[in-house]
Amino acid sequence: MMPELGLFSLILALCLAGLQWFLPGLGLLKHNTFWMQSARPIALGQSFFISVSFLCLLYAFVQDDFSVSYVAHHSNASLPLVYKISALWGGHEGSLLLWIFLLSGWTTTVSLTQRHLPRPFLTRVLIVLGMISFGFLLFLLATSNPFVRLLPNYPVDGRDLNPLLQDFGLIIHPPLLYMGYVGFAIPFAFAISTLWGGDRSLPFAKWMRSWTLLAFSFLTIGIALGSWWAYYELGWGGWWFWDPVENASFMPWIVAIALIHTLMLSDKRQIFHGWTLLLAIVVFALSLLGTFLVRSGVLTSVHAFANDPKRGIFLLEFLLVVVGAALTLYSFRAKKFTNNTKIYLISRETAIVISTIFLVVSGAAILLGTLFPLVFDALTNQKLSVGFPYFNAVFIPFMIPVLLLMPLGPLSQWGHNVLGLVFKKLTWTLIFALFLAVGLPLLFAETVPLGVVTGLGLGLWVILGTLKWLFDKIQIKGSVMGLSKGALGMFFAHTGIAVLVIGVTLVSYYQIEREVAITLHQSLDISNYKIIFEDLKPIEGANYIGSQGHFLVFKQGKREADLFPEKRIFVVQGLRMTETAIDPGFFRDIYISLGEPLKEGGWSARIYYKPFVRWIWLGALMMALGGFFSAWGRWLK
Amino acid sequence: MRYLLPLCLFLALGGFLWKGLDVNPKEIPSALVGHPAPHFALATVEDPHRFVTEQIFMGKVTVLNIWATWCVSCKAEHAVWMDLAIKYNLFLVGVNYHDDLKMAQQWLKAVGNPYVICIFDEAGKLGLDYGVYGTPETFIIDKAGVIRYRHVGSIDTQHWHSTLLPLIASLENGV
Amino acid sequence: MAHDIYPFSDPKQRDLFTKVIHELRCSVCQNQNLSDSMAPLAVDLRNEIYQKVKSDYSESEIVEFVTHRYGAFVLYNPPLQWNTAFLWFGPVLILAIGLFLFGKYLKKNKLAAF
Repeated sequence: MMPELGLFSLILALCLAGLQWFLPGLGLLKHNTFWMQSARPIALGQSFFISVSFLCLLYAFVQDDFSVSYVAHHSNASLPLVYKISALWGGHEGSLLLWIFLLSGWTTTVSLTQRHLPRPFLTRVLIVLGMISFGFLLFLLATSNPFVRLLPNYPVDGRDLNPLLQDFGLIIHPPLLYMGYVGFAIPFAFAISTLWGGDRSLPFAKWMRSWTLLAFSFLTIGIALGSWWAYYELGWGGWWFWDPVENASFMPWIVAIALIHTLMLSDKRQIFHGWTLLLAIVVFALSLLGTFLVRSGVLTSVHAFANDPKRGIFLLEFLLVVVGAALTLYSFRAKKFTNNTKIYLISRETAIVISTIFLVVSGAAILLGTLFPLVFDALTNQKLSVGFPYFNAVFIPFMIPVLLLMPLGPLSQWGHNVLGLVFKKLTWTLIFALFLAVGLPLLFAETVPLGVVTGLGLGLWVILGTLKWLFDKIQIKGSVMGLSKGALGMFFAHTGIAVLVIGVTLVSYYQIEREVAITLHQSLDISNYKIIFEDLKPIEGANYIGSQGHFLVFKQGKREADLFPEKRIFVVQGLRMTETAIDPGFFRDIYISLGEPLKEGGWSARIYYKPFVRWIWLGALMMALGGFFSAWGRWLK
Repeated sequence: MRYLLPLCLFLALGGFLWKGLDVNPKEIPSALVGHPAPHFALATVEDPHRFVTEQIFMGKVTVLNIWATWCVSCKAEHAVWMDLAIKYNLFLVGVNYHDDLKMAQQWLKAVGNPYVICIFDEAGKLGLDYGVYGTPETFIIDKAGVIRYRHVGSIDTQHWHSTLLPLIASLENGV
Repeated sequence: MAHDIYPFSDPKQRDLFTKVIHELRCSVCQNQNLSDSMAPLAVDLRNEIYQKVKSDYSESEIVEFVTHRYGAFVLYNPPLQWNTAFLWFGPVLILAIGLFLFGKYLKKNKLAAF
C-alpha cells in the first residue's frame, strides 16, 4: 500500500509542478496578482507530496519490502540499517527521487525566504523551478519509476547493495553532491527571470550571490567526499581519476567559481552582466549534462548507473529543451544588459575577468576531453580513450594564471589602477614564496623537480599574499573580529585552494608505491618507514567472510601504528573487496592494501607513502567553509 | 550576432550527444582485423603431444572460438556451437584460454566437443596476441589466414544469421 | 625481506614500467589502468610489459606491442594525429578567442592609466 501511496504522491506532485508554471505564467500574462501569488503555495504543495513519496520509498527500504523491485535490487535483509536507508540513493531511480526531493527543498527555501523580491521577478523564478521539477518528475514517472512492484511472485530476499557502496561514503556523498548540483538551479532560475523580465536596473547579481555560494559550498564538499571515498575504498591510493562522472561534477564546479566572481563584478560595478547571466545558465546546463552523462550509458564510467536507451533519449531531450530555451532567451535579451563602463587595464576588474576566462576555458577543455571519445566514435567509428595525461596537460597550465592573479584581487580596490600596488605590496611576497618553494622540499627530499617549485610556489604565493591582505585588514579594523563574514569567507576560500594545490603537488611528486609479495614476519622499507607483516587471521562480518592482516609501522625504531587491512568476500554477490588500512597524518598517510594470497605462500600487497595527501581534502573543506561564510554574509541583503 | 554563439555551440553539442546515444562505449573493435592471424605453437586439448600452429588456418575458412571452463557465458554458448558446427559443417577451432587441461578435457567429454581442433592456451599468450579481452570471443579467419571479423561475447542465433554466416559464406566463395 | 612483485635494479626501468602500466587502459575492467586492474588479462599484460622493460624495449615499442593487439582504445594518452588535432589544440583556441573578445572590450572601454 505504501509504495502505491508513494507513486500516487509523485503523480500529484507532477500535476502541481505543471500548475506551478501554468497558473502563475497566466498570471504574468494577464497581470493578475492573485494567480502570480499562487506560485508559492503550489510550490509548497508540490514539495509536500514529493516528501511523502520520498518517505514512502524510505519506508519500503527500512521495512524490507522486497515486493518493490528497486528495493529488491539494491537491498538485503541482512544489510545494516544505515545502509538500507542510504541504498535508497544507491541506484538510478532512487537517486533521481533524491534529486527531485532536494530540488523541492531548495524551491521551498526560495519561496519562503525571498518574499522581499519584486513579485513578478520571484514569480518567474518559481515558474522556472516548476518547469524543471515538472521535467524531472515526468522523466521519473515515465522511465524510472522507483515504485515498480514485483507482484505476485516477489523475492524472499534482495540482491544486496554493491559491497563497494556499503560504506560511510555512500551515506553522505550523494546527498551533499546533489545539494550542489541541484542548488545551481536557483541561480539559473534567477538568471532566466532576469533575462525574461528584461529590466537591467534590478540588482539580480546581489540576489543571486548567496544561492550560488551555498550550492558551490555543498558541491565542493560533495566532490571532496567522493575523492576521499575513492582514496580509501578502491585500494589503489588514487584520489582523482578524471573519470567522466568525476568530470561531470567538476565542470559545474569550475564554472561556478567563475560565476561567483563575475557576480561580484555585476553586483559592485554593474559590468559584465551578459557574461554573468551566461555563466549562470552554463553552470546549471553542466549540472544537467552531468545527469545525462551518468544515466544514459553514452560513456563508460565506474559510476555509471545501469542504462536504458529510453532514459538517455528523454534526458537528452530535456537537456536540449531547457538549455536550448535558456540560451535562445539569452541570445535575444542579453543585448539589453551590456554596458560600457570604463575600467583600467591593470585592475581588480581585469584580474577577475581574465581569471574567469581561464576558469571557463579549463572547464571547456575538460568537457572536450570527456566528450571527445563519444564524438570521435560517432564521426569515425573508431574507439579512442582520453585519460589523465590529456586532462593534466590541459588543466594544470590554465590554472597557473588563475593562481598568479588570486592575491591581486583582495589587495586592490574597485575602479583603481593597481599596477603600482602590485610592485609595492607583493614583490617580497613573490620572492619569499619562490625561496620557500625550493628550500622547504630540500629539507625532506633529495630532488626538487620544476613541477614542485611551480605548484608549491603558486600555493605559497597565494597563502602569503592572502595573509598579507589579512594583516593589512586587521591593522585597519583593529582585530580579527572586525572582519566581515564575506572577508573571512574569501580568506578561507583562497587559502583553501592554495592548501589543496600544495597537497596535490607534493603527493604527486613525492609519493612512493611498493607492490610486494610478503610472507608472515617479513618486513619492507618505504621512505623512512619499516613495515612488518605481523599476523593474518580469518574474519567474519554481517554479510561477508575474509582475512585480516596485521601490519606494524615503524619509523626509526619507534612504533607508529598498527594497520589491519582486510580482504572480504561478500557471500550474496560473490564479490571480493579489499578494505584498505590507513594511518592518517597531517604530513603523510601510510596506506596498505591487501592483494591476493600467493601460490608460493604469503600475500601480494600494496604499500603507499603518501605525503601531504590530507591537505587536498583539508583545502577543499576550507574552500567550502569560505563559501558558507560568504553566503552567510550576503544572506537576505 | 555573437549572442547566438552559445546557442549554436550548444546545439552542435546536442547533435553529437544525440548521435552518441547509438554508440556502445564498451565495445572495442579488434585491432587485428585485416591482419594475418598471429603466430603460435601450442598443444591441443585432445592430444597434449600434438602441436599446431597458425598454419591450420590455411586453405579454409576458420571459425576460431576462445572459451574456458571458468567462463559462465562460454558454457551457455556451448550448446549453440554443438548445433551450428554440424549444421553448417564449420571448421570450428577452439582455444581453451587460461584453463586447466584436465578440467577442459573432462568438460568436453561430458558435454560434447564441437571443435575440429581445440588448442590449449594455458598461459594465455595466444589470447594476448589475438587481442582477447572478454571470453567468449569468436574470430572469422579467411582461407589466406587473415583475420576478418571478431565477435565479443556469446554467439546468439540472431547475430549468427545476420553477420557471421553471410561473412563465412562469402569467404568460402573466394572473396 | 619482502620482495617487489616487479623487481627492478635500474630506477629508470622502474619509472618506465610504472609510467607505461599507468597510461594503458584495461580492456576488461575499462575503468582501471593496467596497474590497478586485477583482471587476468591485465596481469598477463603487466608481466609481458615487465619482461619487455627488463629487455630494454623502448616506451614506444612496448606501447606499440599493446596497441597492435588491442587498438588505440587502450591509450589513456590520446595520440596527436590529424583527427585529434581539435582535442589537443581546441582549448588553446578557445582561450585565444576568449582573450580576443575581452581585448576588444578593453579597447573600447579602457581608462587611460597614465
